[in-house]
Amino acid sequence: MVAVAALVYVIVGTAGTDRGRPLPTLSPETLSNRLTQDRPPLVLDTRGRTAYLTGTIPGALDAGTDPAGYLPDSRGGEVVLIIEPGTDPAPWMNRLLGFGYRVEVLAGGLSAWRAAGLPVVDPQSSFARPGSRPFVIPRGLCEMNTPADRFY
Amino acid sequence: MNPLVDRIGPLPPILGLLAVLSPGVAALDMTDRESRPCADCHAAIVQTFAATRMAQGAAGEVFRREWMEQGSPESCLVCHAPSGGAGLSCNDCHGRAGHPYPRLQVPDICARCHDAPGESTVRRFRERPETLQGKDCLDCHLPPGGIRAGHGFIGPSVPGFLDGVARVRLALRRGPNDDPRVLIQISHRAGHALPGGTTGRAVWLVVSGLDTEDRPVWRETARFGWERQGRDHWQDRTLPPGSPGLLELALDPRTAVTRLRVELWYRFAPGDLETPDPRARLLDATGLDLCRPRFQSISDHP
Repeated sequence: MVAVAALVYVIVGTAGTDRGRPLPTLSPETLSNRLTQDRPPLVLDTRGRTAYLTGTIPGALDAGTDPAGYLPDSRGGEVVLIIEPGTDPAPWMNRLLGFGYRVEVLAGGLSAWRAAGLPVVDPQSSFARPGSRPFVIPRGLCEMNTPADRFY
Repeated sequence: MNPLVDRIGPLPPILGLLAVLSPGVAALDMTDRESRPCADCHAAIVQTFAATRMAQGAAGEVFRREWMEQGSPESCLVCHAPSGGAGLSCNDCHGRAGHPYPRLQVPDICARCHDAPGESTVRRFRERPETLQGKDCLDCHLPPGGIRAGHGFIGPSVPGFLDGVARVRLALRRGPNDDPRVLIQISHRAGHALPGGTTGRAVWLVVSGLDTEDRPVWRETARFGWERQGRDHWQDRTLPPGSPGLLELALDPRTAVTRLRVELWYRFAPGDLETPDPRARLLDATGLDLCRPRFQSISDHP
């Protein structure tokens, strides 16, 4: 199933590219493995806000749908794009290559990721609260709860 | 009763058999050995452990002050100095059953204190086994290249320990119908939540917007740590292991921000960012120049 989805994506998804070289893709399983490494790739979701909030790969950023409106830092490294099937990834790739990134596209998009049984999350669950000041200072926590020797 | 001792089971049968078959290893030897300080035979190990923070768990200035403020409750000492003294001693982890001491199970033995109230270090470690790749506490909390039976435990207090532990990614997203949004991703490779350890520690994210003269004209902060909710309730807002944490901040286009700077700090001292903390460590930092040709971005932290 995943292989079929990936093949369809490569055929359909690369039809619009004009770079004259094969689209670098990686499978959901490969991406999943890389995400557990010390320096995981940055995953950019380019499907738009609604799709992003419906569910995405854990840790993925909502990059928007307009490559020209996305300004990355120049730390470089590897980026993996989640592209809506049928969308030409070339503008995103050109944009990110210009900032020194190595860019790959998730083969089969999020559908293939789901089909592989890999986790999809509500990204808002990973959102930290901005501007969360002032903070109550944690002090004396041990004294206010169950002593450690009766914790279990 | 010492709960650590209670958890130690009987000797394995093979050891009992060896004892029967080796009467020459006189009971006198055993008795003598059990009555002597550990350092008599294990001097190097005892010396190594004595230099660690664990061996001084009840001797630190912050602990002493807070402990006395609370009326010096004994419950604190269950972890900070179970046998009295300045901190942990050999028997606090190894028990008092005598030789041969049973092999300790990691991370269970660590969890006794590192999952105590005010900590969730081992619980968070167990949450995401796929990220650990077979590692356990000792892979990171012993000096690199040492043996797993070593006792020179290290943590954030040791210079260099936090190097490369966390990484910040920064981007700006402009949409045709939206105000610019600052996108921040924080990832870390601690096997547990960051920060681990006790409640006073926290990771602080500081996002600054600078004008053309590098003067701050906009600022947002976020704190990752334990947070008090009401009198007796606490919320664990540490950065979980595994998937990165995300922030999206609206950047008011009317501000004169021409450059963004993001810093991630590890702080030991309770309190806000203005509270002095000479031990604070910069985990990572990066920046983004919004006005360079072609929106060129910059990076200023290795």
